[in-house]
Amino acid sequence: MTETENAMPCDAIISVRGLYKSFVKGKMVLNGINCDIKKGEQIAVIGPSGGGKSTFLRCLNTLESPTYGEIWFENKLLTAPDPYLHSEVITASKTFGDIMASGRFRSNDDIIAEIRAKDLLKESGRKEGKAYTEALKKVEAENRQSIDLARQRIGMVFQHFNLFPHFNVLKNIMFAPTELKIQTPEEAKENAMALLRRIGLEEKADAFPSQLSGGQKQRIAIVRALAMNPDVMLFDEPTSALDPEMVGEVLEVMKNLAEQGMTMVVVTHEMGFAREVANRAIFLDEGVIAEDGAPADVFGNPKSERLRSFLAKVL
Amino acid sequence: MNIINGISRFFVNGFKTTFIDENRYELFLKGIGNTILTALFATLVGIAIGALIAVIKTIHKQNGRKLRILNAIAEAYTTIIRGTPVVVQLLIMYNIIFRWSTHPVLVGIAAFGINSGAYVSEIIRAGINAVDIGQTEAGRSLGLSGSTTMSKIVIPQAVKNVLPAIGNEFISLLKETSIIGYLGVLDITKAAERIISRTANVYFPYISIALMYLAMVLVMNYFVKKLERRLAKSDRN
Ligand SMILES: Nc1ncnc2c1ncn2[C@@H]1O[C@H](COP(=O)(O)OP(=O)(O)OP(=O)(O)O)[C@@H](O)[C@H]1O
Ligand SMILES: [Mg+2]
Repeated sequence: MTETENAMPCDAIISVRGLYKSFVKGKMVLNGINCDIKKGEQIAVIGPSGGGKSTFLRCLNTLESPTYGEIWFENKLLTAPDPYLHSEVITASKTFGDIMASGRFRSNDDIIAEIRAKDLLKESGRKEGKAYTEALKKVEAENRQSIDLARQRIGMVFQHFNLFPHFNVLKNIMFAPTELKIQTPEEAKENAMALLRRIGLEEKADAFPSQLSGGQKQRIAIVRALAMNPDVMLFDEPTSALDPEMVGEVLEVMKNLAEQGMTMVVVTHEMGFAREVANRAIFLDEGVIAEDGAPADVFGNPKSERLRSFLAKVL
Repeated sequence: MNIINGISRFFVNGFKTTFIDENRYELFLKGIGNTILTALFATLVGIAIGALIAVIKTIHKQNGRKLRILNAIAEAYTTIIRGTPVVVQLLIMYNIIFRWSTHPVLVGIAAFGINSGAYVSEIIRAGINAVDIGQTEAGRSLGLSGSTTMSKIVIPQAVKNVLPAIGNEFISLLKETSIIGYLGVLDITKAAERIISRTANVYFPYISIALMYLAMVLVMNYFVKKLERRLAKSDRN
């Protein structure tokens, strides 16, 4: 591990590096994923049930904490901070102090390099002292803040909508921007009404979620995420909990979003949508990205037998 | 004829000696006041303690590294309270912990409140757990902090879940506080005992206070049921 802090791996909005995730020991659900999500991409994530699509999506905003690997949002590392990435943490350690006292090295950088190269901080049972713990705590607090800030810029839409049932539609949309002091209540309201107009649900502003149909709920949920003016939108099977006659209205909203150039990652079983709207398709199978490319290629010219049989089943 | 005469004399006399003579109804009114007062404030203390314990336990459960010491205290508290009789707790409070106190009603409120807190904490914890995890995820995915999500999204929904159960806790306390006479507080039960010690008539006072408790419980039950229906209606999602 020799990366320096806050090095941006590339010009992606979200970068995934060596992502592994297991919920129970010994059973990896995600098995080493590398992926860059660039501005303007509309990615359809497809694959068999249990292949790890939802887990992958939820790792992108660290709603699920990766077991190994890194998630970068712009130039911020969202995954749990590694002490080796922070020289101020290393220099606070007892190990650093001991080496310094021994006088074997000339500069701090040499000592830091030595500690990193030999993985000295993780020597078993060693206590690195209070200053180290404090420094690490500070880094962890910064990390938590980075996560919250990143999530403000990453919208998420869930299969089951997850609207706030105790708020009316308007408050559902306004709540986060006002609570986070990103918009004044007046701005937030104006913004919310404009968004509602866009999806034709203006007259539902005062309704409570319990009074809406599934399709209306999901459109509101999309708009709630949009109210934060996100850079990316993540969708986890947004239409699979809907009655068939309501699927269209939700896909329509998503299609509009795509046309306006919103960066989107959509886990979906709607192959038609994946083919027509997405400009990149990822086939996630047994926790790895098995195929990744233009939808025309992935759907029209599958390379692997697994994708061929998957497509045969769903198309 | 004689029997009917006898019975009606028994009732008239009983009523007179129990309620009218020496203005004894005033004892009952005072007793009812103290019973309701103790139960009401004990419920409020119970809610405050219960909410605190529930939040500590919930946060600790979400992240085992947080609030380890507070959680241990909370566990010890619920174990002790739920593992000992409330009469014993009351006597310990009165005779040992609050020995110096000259306000038995306050001691009673504290004792019953502390007792109730252990049960209310479980009610509230269940109420928090009953809120769909998707609510927390939606809040966090918008960039809201854990504490904002908890206080503005989860707790308000949990409160709705637990209000009827809290109403039932108040009903339990109305009845449980009948032992507060141990501290010399004049509650409903103590009022009956005082009157019996003067009139030597046990039937009328005891049956009367049973009916008083029953009436209070039925009235409260009516309101709790009504509340339950109201909440169920507003909650269809
Ligand atoms: N919270 C969890 N605890 C334990 N196991 C989990 C958890 N979430 C997911 N899994 C497991 O991880 C695997 C991948 O699940 P995931 O939900 O990511 O698949 P998916 O591709 O989204 O499937 P589907 O198409 O059915 O939604 C499954 O075997 C699932 O049982
Ligand atoms: Mg899924």
